Amino acid sequence: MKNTEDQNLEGPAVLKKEMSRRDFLDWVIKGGILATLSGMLFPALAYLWPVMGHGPKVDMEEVAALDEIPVGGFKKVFLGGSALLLIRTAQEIKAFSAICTHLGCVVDWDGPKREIVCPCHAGVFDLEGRVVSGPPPRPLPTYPVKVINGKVFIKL
Amino acid sequence: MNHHDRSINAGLIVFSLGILAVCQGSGLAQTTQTPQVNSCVVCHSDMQEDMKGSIHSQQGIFCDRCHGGDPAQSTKELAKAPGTGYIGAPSKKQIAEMCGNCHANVEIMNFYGIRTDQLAQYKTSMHGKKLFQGDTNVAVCSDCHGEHDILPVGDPGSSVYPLNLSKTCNRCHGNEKLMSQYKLPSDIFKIYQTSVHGKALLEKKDTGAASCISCHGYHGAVPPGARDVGTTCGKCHMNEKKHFLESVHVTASEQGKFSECISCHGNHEVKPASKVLYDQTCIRCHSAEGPEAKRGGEILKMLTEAEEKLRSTTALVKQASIEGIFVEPEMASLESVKTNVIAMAPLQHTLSPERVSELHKKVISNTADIDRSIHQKRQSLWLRKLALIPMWALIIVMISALWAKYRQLHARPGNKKDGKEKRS
Amino acid sequence: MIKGWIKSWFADRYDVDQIEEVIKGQVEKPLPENISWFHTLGSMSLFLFVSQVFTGILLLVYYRPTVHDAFESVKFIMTTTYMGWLFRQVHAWGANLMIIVLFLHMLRTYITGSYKKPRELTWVIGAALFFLTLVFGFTGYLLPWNQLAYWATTVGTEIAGAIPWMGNFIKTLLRGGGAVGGETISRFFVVHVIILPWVLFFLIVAHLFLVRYQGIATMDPVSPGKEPKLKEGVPFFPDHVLKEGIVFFILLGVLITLAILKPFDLGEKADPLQTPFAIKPEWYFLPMYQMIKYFPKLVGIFITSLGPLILVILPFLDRGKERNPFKRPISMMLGIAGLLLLVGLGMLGAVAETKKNFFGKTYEFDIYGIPRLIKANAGSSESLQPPQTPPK
Repeated sequence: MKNTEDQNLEGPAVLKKEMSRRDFLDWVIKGGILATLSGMLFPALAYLWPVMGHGPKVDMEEVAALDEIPVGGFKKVFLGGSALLLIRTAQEIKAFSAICTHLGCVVDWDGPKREIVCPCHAGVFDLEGRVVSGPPPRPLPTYPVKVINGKVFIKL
Repeated sequence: MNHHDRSINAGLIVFSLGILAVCQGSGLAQTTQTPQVNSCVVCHSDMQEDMKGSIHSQQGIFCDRCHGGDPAQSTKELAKAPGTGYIGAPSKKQIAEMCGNCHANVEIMNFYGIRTDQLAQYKTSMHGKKLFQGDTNVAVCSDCHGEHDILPVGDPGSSVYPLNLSKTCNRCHGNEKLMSQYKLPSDIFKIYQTSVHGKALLEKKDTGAASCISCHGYHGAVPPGARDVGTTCGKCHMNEKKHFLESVHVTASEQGKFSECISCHGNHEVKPASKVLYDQTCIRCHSAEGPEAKRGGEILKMLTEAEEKLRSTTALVKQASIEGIFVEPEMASLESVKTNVIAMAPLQHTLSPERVSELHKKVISNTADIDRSIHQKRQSLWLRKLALIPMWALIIVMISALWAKYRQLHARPGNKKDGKEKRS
Repeated sequence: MIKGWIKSWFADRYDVDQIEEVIKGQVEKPLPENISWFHTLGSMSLFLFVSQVFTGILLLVYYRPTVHDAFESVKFIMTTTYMGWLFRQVHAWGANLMIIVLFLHMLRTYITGSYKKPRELTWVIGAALFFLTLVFGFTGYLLPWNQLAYWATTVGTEIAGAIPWMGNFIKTLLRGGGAVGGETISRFFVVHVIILPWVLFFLIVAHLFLVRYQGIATMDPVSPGKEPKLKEGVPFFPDHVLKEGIVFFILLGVLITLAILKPFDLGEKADPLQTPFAIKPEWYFLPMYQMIKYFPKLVGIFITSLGPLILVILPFLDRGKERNPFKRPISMMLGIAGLLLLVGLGMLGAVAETKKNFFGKTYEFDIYGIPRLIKANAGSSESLQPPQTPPK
């Protein structure tokens, strides 16, 4: 509504000033709205971009490549906030919780003896997770494993 | 029937009768026999209660097997007549041999699956040697296992059940008069009760804890020599023993100058190991300013530092989780730190600062990583809060601009259709 | 220049002038003189709805509606995605703010008597919108599948099961089975994510259409015949829109500030075998939840359902001709009483089964919200009244 020209009997300088003040306010408002909208849009776009390698924990989690683990060998992985021990036998891959049931130390695999050994107080578990000797009171929990296309998946 | 068949019949009958007579007459190893009449308890009725629950009477083994006599007879004279083998209350030596008659006989014990070397072991023990030399003050089978009320070792009521065993040993070994004859102390049980093993066994009922027989043996009980103590402790404390054998004290131990475990930890009075031992025991042999004590001090420093770092990082992680930070990766990392700290305990027996520092370095670096990660997460939370300032700045600018626009519109006379100044 | 070219492209095909006139009419629509800052609450409700849809769609990208994955997926959103935490918190806080703003909007409408003739239908749709928003809250609350969600839903569906005659049927239908489980998540998810948004969308369109078509109510008493259309007044744009803009920015600021300074916890994953102590529904259900406790089951349900019922048929109960609040003392008193009842019950519900410290003394509140003084030393408690057992 440009009836300022009608009302304003002062010189063009003041006219310019008043118009530019009004325009300035309009620009501020428009700019602010733009800033607000982009402040909403850009985080959303960044959020939508996939997070590589950190998918949410689904049914079975891929933890290793089959080739990484030699037969009779092992691999330790972190999953679901705790340590797991993967052991490859001639027939299959077995997955155990790597936390000793005695005092919570992380256990190791003794390949030559084919036993799971805890370095802290010499607790020994067999390939089923059962306690063979030493102080552990309970067997090691086991987890189901699937090997698909050379990739090892564990279900927690 | 013809003559031939009649002879065979007769022969068979005589033969069977003969067998029956033999079976009736002989008294040994009749587990398949039907329970006999036991006339002994008619007079000795007080014995019956004790015998009732015992493992022997459950298996059909009664008074005559140890005391002799004829339980089928109904009068005292006939029951205890000469020829029945009656011996009355057996002497200690008789007890050992009599128990051994069955319990050292492989063919008899085969059926029960019980081992048969107890008597042989006993003869090698202090108790056994002294007994066969004529000393009747020592323990024999019945002193520990009981006489009439013997229960299997695995029965919680048995006097030799792990929870009861040390009290059984204490019957003699706590008797001052008896022990002074052998110049042995009589307060061992009292001391043992204060020890970590004693508390575990007697208070926490942990049957896996070491008691008298774990170190001294039982049927073959001897006091272990200085060298052998390490073997007995090491039966359970395997890693500690393994590491000790890598340490500088091994030679001293072999020379008998140093007892593997006892010299620092004690035996009957062993308490839970603590770092205090570093201050108290090294100086028993080493000078406090010497290089050995210094090495001990280095190890002590590393242990203390590692434990402290674990404690402080665990507290930090816990605090972060209370603040609402997600700490799963850090907690996973803490597991391996905890492992290393716990593993330092057996490892310190190598008495080598170099070995201990391997684990110590890992602990320090892992906890540093965890601390850093937590601080990073805290900082990003802080940054979020900081971002509120520019946001509110923008909002205030917008509100002011909109308000100014609003006032502007209402200041313009063209806006009012009826010319009146209106405020909405 | 480009603008002109686009305009002429459309002008060649459509009656652009007519469209422009309609739009201009709506934009410059005159509003009655009593249009106030409180009249921005409706638009704020709409803004919050849009915000919920927007953040909800974003959350949907990573959320997985199964028992096994729901909790982990929300944790993933909160920790690993870029700014996911912000969208989740805005969504959670937005839900709470939406209910508050909706309630205030309803309150404003009540006070200005706008629900009366000829706007009864607008009010009924609005009441439906309010209750559907509560259902939105109830269904959405379960989706993170944490302890709070699981047990609050269990309690909530139990209460639904107490409805006479149909109760068990409703409970089983809601839960998708005997107990709260994977089937419940599925159903609640479908309702929350596709059914309710569209239902609300159409109801909002209807509501807004009626509001625009009939115009904002004035403070004049109800007219005997049809209401005359307003020819002059405060222009919607820019006057009222500027007000709405200001309130919008304040509300946006509050929403983001709450999301950052008072974020909602994720808590623990739901454990059907472990009930936390003193389960309570979310605050907006507390008054009703507390009310039920004071009466035997059926009576409680009956009384509690009276509230919503009265709310829906309010325009047909209150046929008074006045709109001005100062000329409606009875309505205002009833309104204040209702408000006090809600607030009071809500506060009782909040303190029930908790321990609180007032002026150095510790009080333990029972399930009715009645306090008992507990002495400083443990083990002794002085009760001001004898312990009560709940009626069965």
